[in-house]
Amino acid sequence: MKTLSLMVAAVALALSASPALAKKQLVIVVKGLDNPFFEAINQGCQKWNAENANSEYECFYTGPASTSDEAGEAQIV
Amino acid sequence: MLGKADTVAMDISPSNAKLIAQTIKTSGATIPIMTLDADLAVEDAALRKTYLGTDNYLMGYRIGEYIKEKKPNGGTVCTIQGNPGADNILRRAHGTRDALSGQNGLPALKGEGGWTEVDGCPVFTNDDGAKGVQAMTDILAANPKLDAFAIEGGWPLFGAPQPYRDLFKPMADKIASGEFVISAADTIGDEVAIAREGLVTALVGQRPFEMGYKAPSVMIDLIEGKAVADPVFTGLDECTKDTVDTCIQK
Repeated sequence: MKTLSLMVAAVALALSASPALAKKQLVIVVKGLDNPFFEAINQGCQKWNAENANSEYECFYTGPASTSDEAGEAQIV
Repeated sequence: MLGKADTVAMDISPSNAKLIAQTIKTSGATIPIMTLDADLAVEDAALRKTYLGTDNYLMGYRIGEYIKEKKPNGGTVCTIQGNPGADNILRRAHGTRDALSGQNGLPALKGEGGWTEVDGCPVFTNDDGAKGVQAMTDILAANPKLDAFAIEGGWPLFGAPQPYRDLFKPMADKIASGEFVISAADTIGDEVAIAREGLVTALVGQRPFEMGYKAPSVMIDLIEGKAVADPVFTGLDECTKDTVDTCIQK
């Protein structure tokens, strides 16, 4: 009985430790994260994620820290 | 991100359209790529599947029409712009000049339709609000009889709201009477409050939340090979002092 419960515990641990299946990413790259305009885009992206939690896709929002960083944006792309 | 296996589609708002076009070209990417909020230049349009965002030409045109409505006989104007490589802002300036001049595609106004751009304009602020307010301070000092500012991105109002208020509070009466006109892009942050205070004649705002919310669905349609319109336009919210309570789409 003790062995069985240990086994169950081990299986439960293995299951919880296995990473969630990685979703396919729909990437949004904005000019810069320092602009409230782009933060509103992020809010829309996150709302889509909340409403489509079971989707195989996920909206992923990113960009350079500053809108003046043109090279940084190209690097992220 | 284009090289990552998890990335199945990308939606980009390019701050430098040419640089991003070059980046897409050299990446050799095969996933669907589209643009959001700002497009690539017309000659690079084949590099992206569609554009989702504001009709920037129309937005700039409406900014110009608010100025023309207050000043039907023309005058002097200065356009405040962002990054000289940002296609969306350039299209807005194009629209504003067309609305004011009644002509198409003039690179600068020299009396067409009664409108002249003063020396030192357009101002490129690189999306920096404080820099925009400073530039407007300098332009007003050099041109005390200036008739209008066309602000093609809301940076000075949402990025430096207090310096903006400090600059234009002494001109509130002139703005109220239509003797001086400020027509500005966006409805972000403090902008609508500034309209309520009567320190901007009109705001022509975009719908960034709608852009972010629609982007995943458009990208999925592209992945699945469905027909997608090019462009896909999001709407405009236009605000004046009298409409601040109702002008923003809920």
